[in-house]
Amino acid sequence: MLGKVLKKDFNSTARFFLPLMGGYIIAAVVGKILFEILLSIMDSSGHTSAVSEGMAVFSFIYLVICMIYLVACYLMTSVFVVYDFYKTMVGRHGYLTHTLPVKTSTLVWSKTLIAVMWQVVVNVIISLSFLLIFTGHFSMEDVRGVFRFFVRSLDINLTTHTIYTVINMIMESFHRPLLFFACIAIGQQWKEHRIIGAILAYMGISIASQIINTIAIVATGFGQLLDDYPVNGYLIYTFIFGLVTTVGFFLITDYLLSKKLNLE
Amino acid sequence: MNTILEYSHVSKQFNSLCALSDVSFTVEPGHIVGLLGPNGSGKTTLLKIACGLLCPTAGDVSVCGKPTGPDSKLRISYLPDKDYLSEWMKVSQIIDLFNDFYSNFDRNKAYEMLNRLNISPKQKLKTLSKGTREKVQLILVMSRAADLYLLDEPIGGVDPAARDYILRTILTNYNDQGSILISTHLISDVEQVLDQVIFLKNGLIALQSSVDDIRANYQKSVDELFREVFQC
Repeated sequence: MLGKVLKKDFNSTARFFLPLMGGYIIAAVVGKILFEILLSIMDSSGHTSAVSEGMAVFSFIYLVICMIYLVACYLMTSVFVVYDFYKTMVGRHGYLTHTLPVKTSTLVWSKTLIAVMWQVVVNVIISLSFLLIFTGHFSMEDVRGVFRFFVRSLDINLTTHTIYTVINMIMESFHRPLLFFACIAIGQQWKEHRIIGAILAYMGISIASQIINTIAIVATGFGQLLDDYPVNGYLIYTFIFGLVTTVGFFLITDYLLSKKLNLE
Repeated sequence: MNTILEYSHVSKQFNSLCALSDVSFTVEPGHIVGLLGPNGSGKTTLLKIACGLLCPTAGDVSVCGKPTGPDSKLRISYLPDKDYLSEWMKVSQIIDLFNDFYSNFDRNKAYEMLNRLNISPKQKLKTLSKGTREKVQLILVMSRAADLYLLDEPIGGVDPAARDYILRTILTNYNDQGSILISTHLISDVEQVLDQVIFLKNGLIALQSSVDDIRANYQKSVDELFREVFQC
């Protein structure tokens, strides 16, 4: 049944994400062309005309707009995921979602996996766009140099650090949507003003997380660990904390939507 | 045959408002039951609890002996009183979705009904009128061979000709091994098709009886008795 729910949720979210990502890809390709023009104008300093100066200004403004678009892509990823969850799980379309012969946990799994998938797609496309823009201007030796500097400065084992970072990125991609889902499920317990309820839940969870975080660091001696292993220790700690809270958010969402559902 | 729907001491409280209070009744197979009551009497709440859209404050509901869950939802075909389908979808996509999820959905039957009403499956829901969207929802519900049809105000807010079409569609397409629970306050339009009635008043069952018994015991039609019970 999960496959069928995934198909439904993919179709429901693709209509937001595909135009967003399609627009970004086109913007990145145009950005690459303008970036090359900008560089060539800068290389020919001293021999610039009014037209080329105008072109340089235009290219620069365009690249700034591209950066804003990039940030918007990240923000809109969360917005679309939240909007879809709200509308289909606790909004009007919930009448269809919750009458399907499917367990609530399957519905929550599907929403989470689709959210993770779109985050990965957005990250991959944005990474590729940077690769596209800078292709031809950096050698592999330059990239290795950056990594060597990074490893030397932070005094870390690159392989271990990479593994922890990847695991934490995967964790974060589950953690963030599930945090939003849990807040919406909590807000849904209000009879009225459910969006305000969800926002208050978000604020409450954020404050509680900060307090627990601080207590955990002090009580478990993670502070010492962080001092000894400046990066990897912190990544271990965030992994454990993230895992516990992510599972907690999933259980809260599943419980509230299966045992305490009150669809308007 | 087993009871199709059973409510056992079901109550539903919304903060200080008591929407349902200790409601118990059963619906047996092959019956068309009218859930009758004025606005705000708890009809929609009662139906939504059976579908799992609301959780009761107390009591239990079962459908064919199954508690609310995927098994019971497969047996229920529910028509809400609101427009709940995604406007961006085409009619054909919604039919595919129902076909994917409900093993008792008959795709050919759905297309036949659409064809009869000249509704193109290629049309998006947002391009259809409100009345046509309601007909699409009815077609989806009645294309399932469900054990229990829960119809919330299916003839509310439509013209008399559309009422006739809706009632005809319901009667000619439902699985006659199953049962129908139809909520309405337009008694005179549905009275002739009902076997039993449940009068709901302020969240309480005021009367549960067969239509024949009402006529025999009260010497009145259901509509007349309803007007008497719910006199303002």
